[in-house]
Amino acid sequence: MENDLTSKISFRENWNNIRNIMRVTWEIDPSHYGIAALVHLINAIHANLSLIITAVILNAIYAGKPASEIIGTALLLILAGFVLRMAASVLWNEVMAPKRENVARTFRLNRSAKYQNMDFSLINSPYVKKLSERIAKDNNWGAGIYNVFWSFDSLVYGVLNLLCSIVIAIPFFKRIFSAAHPWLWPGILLLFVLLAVFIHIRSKWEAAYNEELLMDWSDRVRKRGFNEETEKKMASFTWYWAMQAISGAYHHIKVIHLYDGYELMKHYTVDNEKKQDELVSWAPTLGKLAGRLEMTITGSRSFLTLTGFLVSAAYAIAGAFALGDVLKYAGCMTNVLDGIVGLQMQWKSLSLTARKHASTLEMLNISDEMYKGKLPVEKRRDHRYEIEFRNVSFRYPGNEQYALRHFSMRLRIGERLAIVGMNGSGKTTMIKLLCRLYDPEEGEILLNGVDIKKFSQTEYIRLFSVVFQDFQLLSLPLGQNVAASLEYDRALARECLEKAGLGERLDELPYGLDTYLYQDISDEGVEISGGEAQKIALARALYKDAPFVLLDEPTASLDPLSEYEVYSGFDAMVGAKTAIYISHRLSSCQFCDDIAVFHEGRLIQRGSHEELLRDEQGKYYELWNAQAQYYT
Amino acid sequence: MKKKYSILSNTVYFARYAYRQYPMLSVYHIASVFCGIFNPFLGILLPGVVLNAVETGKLNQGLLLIGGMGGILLLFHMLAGYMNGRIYFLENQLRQFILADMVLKGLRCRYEYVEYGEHRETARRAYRTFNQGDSCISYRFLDYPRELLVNTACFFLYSSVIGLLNVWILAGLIGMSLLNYGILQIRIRGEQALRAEFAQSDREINYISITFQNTELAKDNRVFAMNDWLMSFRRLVFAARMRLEKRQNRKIILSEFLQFLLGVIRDGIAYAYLICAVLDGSISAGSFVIYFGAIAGFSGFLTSIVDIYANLKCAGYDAASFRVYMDLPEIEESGEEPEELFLQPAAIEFRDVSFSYGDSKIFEHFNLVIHPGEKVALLGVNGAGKTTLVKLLCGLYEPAAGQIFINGADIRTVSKKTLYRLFSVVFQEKALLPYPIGCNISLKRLEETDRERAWQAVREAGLETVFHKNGITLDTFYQGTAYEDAVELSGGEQQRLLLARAIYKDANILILDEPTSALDPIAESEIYNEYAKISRGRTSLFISHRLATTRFSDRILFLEHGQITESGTHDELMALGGSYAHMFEVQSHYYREEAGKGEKDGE
Repeated sequence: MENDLTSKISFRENWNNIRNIMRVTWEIDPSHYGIAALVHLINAIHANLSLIITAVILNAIYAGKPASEIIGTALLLILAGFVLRMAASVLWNEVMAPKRENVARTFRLNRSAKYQNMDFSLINSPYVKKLSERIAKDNNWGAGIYNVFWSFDSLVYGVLNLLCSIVIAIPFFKRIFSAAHPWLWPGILLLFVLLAVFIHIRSKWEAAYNEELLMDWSDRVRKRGFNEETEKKMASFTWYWAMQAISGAYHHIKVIHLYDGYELMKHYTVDNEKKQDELVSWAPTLGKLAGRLEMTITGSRSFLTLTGFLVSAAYAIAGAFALGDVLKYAGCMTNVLDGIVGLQMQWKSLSLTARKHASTLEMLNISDEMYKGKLPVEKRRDHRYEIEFRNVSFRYPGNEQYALRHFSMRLRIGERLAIVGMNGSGKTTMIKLLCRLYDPEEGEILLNGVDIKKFSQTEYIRLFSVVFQDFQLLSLPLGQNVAASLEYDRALARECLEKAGLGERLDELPYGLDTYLYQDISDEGVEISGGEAQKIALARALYKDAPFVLLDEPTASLDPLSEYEVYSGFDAMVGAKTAIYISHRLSSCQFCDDIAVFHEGRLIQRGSHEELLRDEQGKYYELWNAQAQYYT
Repeated sequence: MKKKYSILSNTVYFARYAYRQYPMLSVYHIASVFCGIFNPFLGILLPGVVLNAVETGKLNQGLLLIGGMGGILLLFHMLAGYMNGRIYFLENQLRQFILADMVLKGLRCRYEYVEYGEHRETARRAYRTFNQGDSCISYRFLDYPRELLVNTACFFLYSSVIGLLNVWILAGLIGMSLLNYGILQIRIRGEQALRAEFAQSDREINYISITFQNTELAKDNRVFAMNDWLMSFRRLVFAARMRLEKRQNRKIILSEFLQFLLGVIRDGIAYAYLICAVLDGSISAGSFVIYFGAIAGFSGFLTSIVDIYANLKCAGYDAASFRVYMDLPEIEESGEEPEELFLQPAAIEFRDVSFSYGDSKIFEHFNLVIHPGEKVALLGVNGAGKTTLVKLLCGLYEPAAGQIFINGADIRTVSKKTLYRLFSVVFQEKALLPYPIGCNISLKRLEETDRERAWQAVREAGLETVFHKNGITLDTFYQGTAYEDAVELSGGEQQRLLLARAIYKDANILILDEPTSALDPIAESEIYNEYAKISRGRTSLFISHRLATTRFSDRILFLEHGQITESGTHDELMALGGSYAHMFEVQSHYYREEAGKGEKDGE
């Protein structure tokens, strides 16, 4: 079975993967790997010290030393051990653990933050979607970035422990080789053959286990001989629902209640999970493989311990060294053998986890593809900016149909423009292009005659305040939401909220501008209605004080009175700025000198309300009457 | 959490869960306990055996003894390894099942619990305990008790060994272990004191993570340059978290210092005693090693027992959130079914109903009568309580006082299941499921969906052309994460799909809550016409900010400050000149003036 995590790759590639992931985490905090290594060194020394203590005591006893001297030596060694452990504890708890947690958090959030940093057009592109899926798959199993740390830990500790044991065991090995027992070479040969067999079986079983573990679900289903149709039927969204529930989504639940959808939900969650479990038997199969693997791992460990004891005991009986050293050398020999065998495994686990992070790193390294101009935007007191769409065509990434087709339009300064049209006629798309969330496929958008691509995006976007249809507020304090910043001008924020019609509500709030919205973060947060949210979004747009104000259905969930407030107050709010309204409520056209009618990605009519209404064959006439008929 | 469950009760609860799902898992658990007791014991015996063999000096006999004993140890170790491998995955799968059960529980318990109030946080906490991977609550209650058993058994086994040597040493060790317990308490108390702060910090970090991943935010983020805001918030939260961790870890350092110190004293005394014992010939070198191993191991077991106990106690908090959630009252399956309830068309009455969300009162002594077959338009400003009224009527919320009658039957006496059958409701939120379109319409499995009727509903909701154009059938999956061929629908189409759902159900009472806010004028007008058709012959309630809806209504209700302040036909209310008239005036004058002008111009 093809699997991009278990197929063979070269040592070089493995090495690159490891280096890359280590580098990224190292950049977050350059010292944490070094400190971890130091702690492991102390731990390795401490582990070997325990081996020595017994040997020293027993040898002293056999050497006939007085009790007081032996006890004194023992105490000294115990105290040394205490100092080492305390040093490790302080280093780990005070420095290392918080650092590591912080690196892990930062790494994880950097990945999420990438969505907010990359080119907007990339976010929903097929490439990023696929990559996100791959990341989810690669992180489906294991502890994410902690696996990198843990693999690093065990590799470093393994090497250091091995080195310490070798140092202690040098006299032992010298003695063995100089004694040249007739059994020596055949014995060593036999030992290595047995070890090789163990390692071979273990890596084979480990590969089988990893293949099964890292296989994605549909591969697994197909491996069991089920076709795609069955796969679909068995599709379980338990996970999806769990995520929904965790994120606090509950709106669907009332529908389940009222439409008696419980059995449907049960079918797609528990029943499917059980059916899958029966058919695919994921857990039992993997459990069997894991059990087998664990068995060889613990088996080879015990075997090595036993070998250490046997060899050491045999030589001691033969008189090669003192009785007290038997356990010390046995322990060291076990450590050395175990260390050598372990290195292979630790390397493997580190390469696997590094490989699983390759997709995450790819995401972090996505570079922007939009042309990023450097031209500064001229700051004009008089807001004399003119914008022109010239023959613009655009399709959303991965979409066949044009959202805008040969679209041309001029925006005049200081005007109030209303854009109307049916759902899907390209109104919102035009706003998105204007904000340069996307670049047109054909044609260009000009600001004062210059292609907007040539401007620095940070400066260009300062020209626009937008209330999108699906605007988002964060569960942070109200004032911060208005200013979109941690630090802000409180008086201005208050003023904007008042202008947006939230003055009264603001006075009622327990902590005023510092009141948290929603209860995601604070129990004292307030729940706000859709209408209130819309007003806050309006206040945010006002706070920004940009020369262009774009409103995409700003009153969709407002009641008629609030709607009216917004309409009638907006002229004053917007002042000399250019404002563009998109609305399905054609009454909003009343506030605009100019109305643009969109249809199927084109601008088909433009003019004042009276002009447009005169054309009885026109789209505007149709739209208007569809709504006006109920009010006449 | 007010409710508490004992460790035993929690252990039994999860053990039964495991047994029900995988009977073999219980067998593996028992085997692993068995191995867990004997492995360490054999482990400390072996070095002693080795030393004795060397002391005796007989090569073959000695090696045979070591090999034999080592062989047994090896087998036990392998068995333990095998069990652990199997157990891990079965427990993992078990967690999935429990999670699925939790999801279902959320759908069975009374709706108000999932939407607001303290139980909503209970549910969230319960989910969070299953969101911690290998340290989730089911793992903890399946693994810790086993470890507790192993360590307790080992404790007695070792006690008997050490007791053979010297009872006083045993007594001293037990005393020290108790001291150790006291030291651990410092640590646990320290951790408990910080629990709330950690929980809050987790909540913030979790929120930041969700926010960063929210691709919907990306537009606003770019326009309002929100990244600096988010990043500075993140910096604050992370810095606070690090300080918190350091505070907790300092307690750990202190407790480790005391523990290690205690270890030094214990080891020092043990060595001194054993050295003297070997020197005066009362024990052999081999026994020296075994006894020392037993003494060192002994306090390990007792410390572990105390440690595991503390962990179990701690896990008890999480288990309590989980179990309280799983024990929340559910909607009743069956109950009285008064015949008059299903009389068509239905009459509705609210009598003296009061309701509040926490401290904020929504309704107080609210009264309302809706006559059979009446089409009612419910109006009011944002936040007047229109949706709450609907939820009370449907039985999703319980009134704090007063009664609601449908056809004269008090809905409290009727089971929820029966009551729910009376309503076809379209709520504001577009609650569509990532399942086939057919299932989204019928809320039944595809096999149980009446396809004729579903297509009929699709047709009546005005979706047929769209479906044909895009090749959508009842079997097409609606926008899920799993399939590339799943469809996505535009906002307006989603609204219509929800309408199709209501049409399919064909219930006695039809309720639409702002179904047109995202629609263009033409689509909006079409929905009105549909509404006029499907509401024929039944009691219906239409909530909208578009006052055009009043055209299709027999009566308009104006909701203000938790009371119906105006009620009547459009003409009556216009004549009254109250809030409704004002609202209608505000919304309509543009249309009227301009339409009039337009017509004139057209003539």
